[in-house]
Amino acid sequence: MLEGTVLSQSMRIPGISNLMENEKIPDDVIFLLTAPSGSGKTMYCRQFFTERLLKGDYCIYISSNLTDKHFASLFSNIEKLKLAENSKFINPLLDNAQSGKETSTVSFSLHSSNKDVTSTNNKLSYTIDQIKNTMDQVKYSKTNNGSILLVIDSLTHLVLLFGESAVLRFIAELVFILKDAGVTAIFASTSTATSEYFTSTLSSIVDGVIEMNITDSKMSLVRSIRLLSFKGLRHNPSWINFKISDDGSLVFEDQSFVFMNCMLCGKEVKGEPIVESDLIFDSQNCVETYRKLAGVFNLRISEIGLPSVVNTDFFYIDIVGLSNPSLSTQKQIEKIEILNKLIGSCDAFSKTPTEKRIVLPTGDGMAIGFFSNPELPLQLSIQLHHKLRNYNRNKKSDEDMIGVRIGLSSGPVFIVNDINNSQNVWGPGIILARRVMDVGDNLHILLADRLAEELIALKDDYRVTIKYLCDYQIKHGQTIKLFNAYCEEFGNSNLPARIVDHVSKNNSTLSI
Amino acid sequence: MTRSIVFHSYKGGTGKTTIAANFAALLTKKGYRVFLLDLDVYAPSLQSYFRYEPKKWLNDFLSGDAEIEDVVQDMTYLIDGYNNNTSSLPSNIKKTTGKLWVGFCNSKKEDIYKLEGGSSGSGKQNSTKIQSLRKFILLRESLISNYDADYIIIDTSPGIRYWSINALAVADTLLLTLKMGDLDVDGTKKMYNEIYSSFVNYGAKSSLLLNRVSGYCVPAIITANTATGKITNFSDSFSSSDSIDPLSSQQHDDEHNRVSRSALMQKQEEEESDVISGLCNETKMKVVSAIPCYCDIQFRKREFLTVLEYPNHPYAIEVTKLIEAIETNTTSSL
Repeated sequence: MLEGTVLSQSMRIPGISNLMENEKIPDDVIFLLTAPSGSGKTMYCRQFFTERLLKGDYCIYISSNLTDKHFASLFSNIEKLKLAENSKFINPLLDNAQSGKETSTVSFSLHSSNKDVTSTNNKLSYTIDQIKNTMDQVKYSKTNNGSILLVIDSLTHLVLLFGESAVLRFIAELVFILKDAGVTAIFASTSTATSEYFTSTLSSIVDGVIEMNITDSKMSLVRSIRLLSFKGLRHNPSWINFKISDDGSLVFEDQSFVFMNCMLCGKEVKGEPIVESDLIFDSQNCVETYRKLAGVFNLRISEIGLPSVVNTDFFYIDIVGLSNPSLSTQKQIEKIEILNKLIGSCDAFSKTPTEKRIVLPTGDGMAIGFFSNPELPLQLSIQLHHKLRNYNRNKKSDEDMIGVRIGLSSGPVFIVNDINNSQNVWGPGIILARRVMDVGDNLHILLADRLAEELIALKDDYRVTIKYLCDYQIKHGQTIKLFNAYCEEFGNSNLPARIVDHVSKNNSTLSI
Repeated sequence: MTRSIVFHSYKGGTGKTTIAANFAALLTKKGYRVFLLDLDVYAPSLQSYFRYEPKKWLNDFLSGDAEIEDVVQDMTYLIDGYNNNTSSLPSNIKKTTGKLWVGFCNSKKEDIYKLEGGSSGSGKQNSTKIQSLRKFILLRESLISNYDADYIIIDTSPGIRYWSINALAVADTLLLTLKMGDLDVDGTKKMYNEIYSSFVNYGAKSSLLLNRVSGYCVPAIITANTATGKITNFSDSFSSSDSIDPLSSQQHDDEHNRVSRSALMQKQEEEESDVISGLCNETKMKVVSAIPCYCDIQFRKREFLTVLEYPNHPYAIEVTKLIEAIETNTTSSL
């Protein structure tokens, strides 16, 4: 699992929660996405398209370098029927059946006396008409929620075919139409392939400009994105790194969840990190110091970046039944997003400084390591249970409710850099938390012995709520004392099903 | 751009601390924001030099028990104390707008032991040592980014030891201080080959800084006065506040040459010159400055910021030249 949160917020624009401070943007926003080749524009557009389509929007995809077959292949992650019913693919070059007709209000021809040019540019006029017709159909259709998304990937290809001036006129008219209809849109353009005039003119037409970048650092590519400008809204113009995962989805580093520190000085990396030999550095100074140290101590790089051992208190959580095949992917994502938000809103999490905690998303949940206070994992569990109770209270079906199981433990872990150059932890502390969580059912807050005994010794409240459950044999024959935290307000007083099974099979190792 | 300069030597007693303190004070006087850090962790002496007992030490920061603001002491007031005689300062020295912070290192054995990672030192780095090293690098990064430092001056331990190597690694300019003497010269050659060459390969600039070079001392005057039972504090002649016209460096040299230079000293100078030449050839390092041996400083009860107290003293003038050499070599090799 990559670090960061996959589609971590309710994003109308992928990654927008990372780029904007208030996350509130109008529905009919139009962005220019400008980036060098290979930085992930198409995958960004793909994700934009997929997310919106899955949320019930109608999506129009315009590309002059895709065929219908290519389009279907690009969106093979969406059911064919759903794709066919909820999207329209337009290739201005191929959809030319009526290209001879002057149907648009604007002719894109620069030289009306030139028949070829006129014919070519009329294709853009026809594209405008197709878009308008499609939008009208959607408006009167009851199959969608009425919201429309439009993607052009990319303007660079259109420029190649029709010229910059024609494309600018095309976009100018299109933006007017889209604004009038309240359509969200994104226009991708290769920054290095078009003129400065073209880009600056486009920038003045659209609402916001998203910029992407790619840097080649030895064996790894570092992709980043930022919101360069946005009319009338505060935003964060700093670069956010992202990765393209194996399934083509974009994973943004969510700064509220993942902090990236310099491998040498430990300072939080702000801005673009410097990557050398798969390690991340905050500054060129640190890179040079690191090289010197590695050289003079005659050590391998990894030894200089020796993982440090820290004692960490872990909160390990997953969503119960998330992989149930009857649950749609959209619903699964929604649940993950909601859980992320609920955890993020708990004081035990939000009031702990980022340098005192580490968050490791696990797909259907997460592990959070606290470096400062052994009470925090349990406090977080209790606070989350309260919030989940409120959340689930008004849900009509089980499918809409969120059930979680939680395992808590403490122990030493190594802070290491993972293959994505992100800080990660590994060691007995986190493994044990996972094992403990695995024992539980919905609403269980189970604790491993060391943390439980530490808490019980700490406060009388914990003596009441943390109860010894049994000796339990986990993997590799290790037996631990298992504790269950519960009372009327939180937790689950029932025996976990695994324990019950265990009782029937291994009476000798269980003492309840 | 922040410059990080380390004063290092093969042997102890080469005058690193005195030069580093005077160097930092004069930089401050010139208007720079200067941080002077004592990283001579095994035998720290800046706290004695400044006669200051901080509440928190650099050791506390390195072990994670204090913040930077707790361990760097603003000592600018010391510089300001010398500002009422700016008329006599060299023309390139202006009334200070600079700041001087000093980070002191604790000489308590427990603290030294702690920085060594709590082990007897098998040479293998353990995690405590690594953590302290990270904190040290974080200190430099924070002084650059949060304190807008112009200069970070590090006084470090002599020889090839864990913390002196770390100090050398974080610096962009290495000043290898040495007194003239066979042991120093041999050790310096060894150190260049084993340590400095590696740092230079990674972009550091290194230079030789000769201290207590012979040929400038005033034994004749001391001898003459001693013979009459009167030991003169020679540096009084260079005090800016003194009513006596200060002697210029050239006047001093002339007087000195006329009175005291002996054939023996001339021979010694020639020998030193040969040794220096050989050392420079072997290490490919240039001599950035040759600070003479001034007995009036060496034998004073307490030397303290001579560059400010006696700004026309030849020692002060040599330190000023050293600063000018550092300032003008921001990009090229020293």
